[in-house]
Amino acid sequence: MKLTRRELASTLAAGAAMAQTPAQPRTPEAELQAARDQLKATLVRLSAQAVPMTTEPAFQFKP
Amino acid sequence: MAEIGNDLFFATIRELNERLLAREVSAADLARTFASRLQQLGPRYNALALALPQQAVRKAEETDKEIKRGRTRGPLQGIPYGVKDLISFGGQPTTWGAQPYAGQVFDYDATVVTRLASVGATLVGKLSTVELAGGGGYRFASASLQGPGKNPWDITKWSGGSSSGPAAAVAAGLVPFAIGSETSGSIVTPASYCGVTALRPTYGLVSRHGAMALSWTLDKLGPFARSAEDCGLILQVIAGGDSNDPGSAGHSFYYTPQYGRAVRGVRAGYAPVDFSQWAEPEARPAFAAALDVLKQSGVEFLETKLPDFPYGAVISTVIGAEEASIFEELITSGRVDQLRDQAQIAGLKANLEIPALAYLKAMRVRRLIQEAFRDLFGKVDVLVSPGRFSPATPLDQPLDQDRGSRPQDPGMSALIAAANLAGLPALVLPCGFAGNLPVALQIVGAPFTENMLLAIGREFQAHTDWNRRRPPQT
Repeated sequence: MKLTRRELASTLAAGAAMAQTPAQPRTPEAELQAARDQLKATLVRLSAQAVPMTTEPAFQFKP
Repeated sequence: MAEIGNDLFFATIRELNERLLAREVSAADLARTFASRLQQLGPRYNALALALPQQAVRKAEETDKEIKRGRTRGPLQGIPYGVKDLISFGGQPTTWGAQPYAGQVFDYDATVVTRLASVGATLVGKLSTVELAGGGGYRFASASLQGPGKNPWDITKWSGGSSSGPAAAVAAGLVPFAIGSETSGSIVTPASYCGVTALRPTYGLVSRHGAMALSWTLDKLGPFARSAEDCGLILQVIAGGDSNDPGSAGHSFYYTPQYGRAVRGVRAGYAPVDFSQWAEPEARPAFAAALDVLKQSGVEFLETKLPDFPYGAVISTVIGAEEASIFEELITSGRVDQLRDQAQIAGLKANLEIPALAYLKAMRVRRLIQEAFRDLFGKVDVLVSPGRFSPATPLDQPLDQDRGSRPQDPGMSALIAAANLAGLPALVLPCGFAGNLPVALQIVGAPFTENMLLAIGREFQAHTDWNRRRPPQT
């Protein structure tokens, strides 16, 4: 995607503003939502891994 | 009481034992002195959870009587040590580093404590841990009843976790050795940050009976000590089958340096990008020099890739599901809100929502990971990587802070997660400094190859002295 000079300047200014704004501590609700989002992303990554049908879980876990 | 100089605070187990048997010091002398030192200096590093001076001296006096009668029990007899405060010592608090369990007392000793007592080692204190061993995913080093673990090399830096106290206490010469634990990184990280030799044993080799469970299929207990040899001596005592631990592999371990395979010709798999790009620039010279030492000892380095799996997703699903089950009551009752770290509280709550199918999927992928590492260890004998790519972080730095630019080649950056999923042992070897902070290598082996790892460690430490360096003001 080609940015116009005006769009590029706007993007850089927004980035600079964000860098200057100190991170706000999260509320417990926001933390929980962030944890759920991270879990969702983890499960998506996990679901993408192919596993042969005959593979059993490593329950009898003896290396 | 015999005068105990600074040298003894940083002595190896064999050096201390020689002095004991020569009657230069008594076990009671050592117990009093180390217990006192731990009480005085432990709080400087937030390393001390509970001092046990009286019982330590009582135990040590019994040991002295035995030594006087000629009843020797091996090199650990009379040697003081500490345990991470998720390991039970009967009748005394075992807090798991967490406010909800601050008053918890068990009426039995953990198996590792019983085994160390049987050879006459002297427990002098409980050492700090990240709350609940950090399994929910903590953001700050302050996630502990004792506050952030402070690094003896620079107290503005983190000691690492979750075995913060064991690493700091050994690094600062407060105890000759300590027992910590690892689910995923909790021995390797603090050992690397504090410049301490440590061993994460093969899963199932050391009984976890009496230790807090965070993840049944991942938890391991292991030693922090002054040298690779010390780790071998300790492992011989604490390893072995235990019917009280469902995860026990039933294997014994005998430390046999005299029969050990020669280091010359050992094939070490490594990823050059780990040392040239992943490692922080200030640490690269130390890592390069360490690899040279191993090469001069005859270790053959082969460029190797880790098997390709989503290790992070697998391990976080396994830990998340197992810990949510273990701590279900803590979470659903709301007492989880008493923990210090908000990210950890949220992580534990969210993990209740992990579907069973996801856990089963993760455990099936884990079977594939085990098989892939079995194949890999047909081509190499060990894997070598930095323990951590950078030295210890500032105390108040968020632990989930983005590193920024990442090399495109992953190298072995996932080795901690991968090796833990496969149940593999690892030896951490201090190998130099980045500025004033230690860095270390991790040497990972196939299951039950601890003797080979220790042989490599002994050879490395015969040609270097990083493991004998002392932090300032100790």
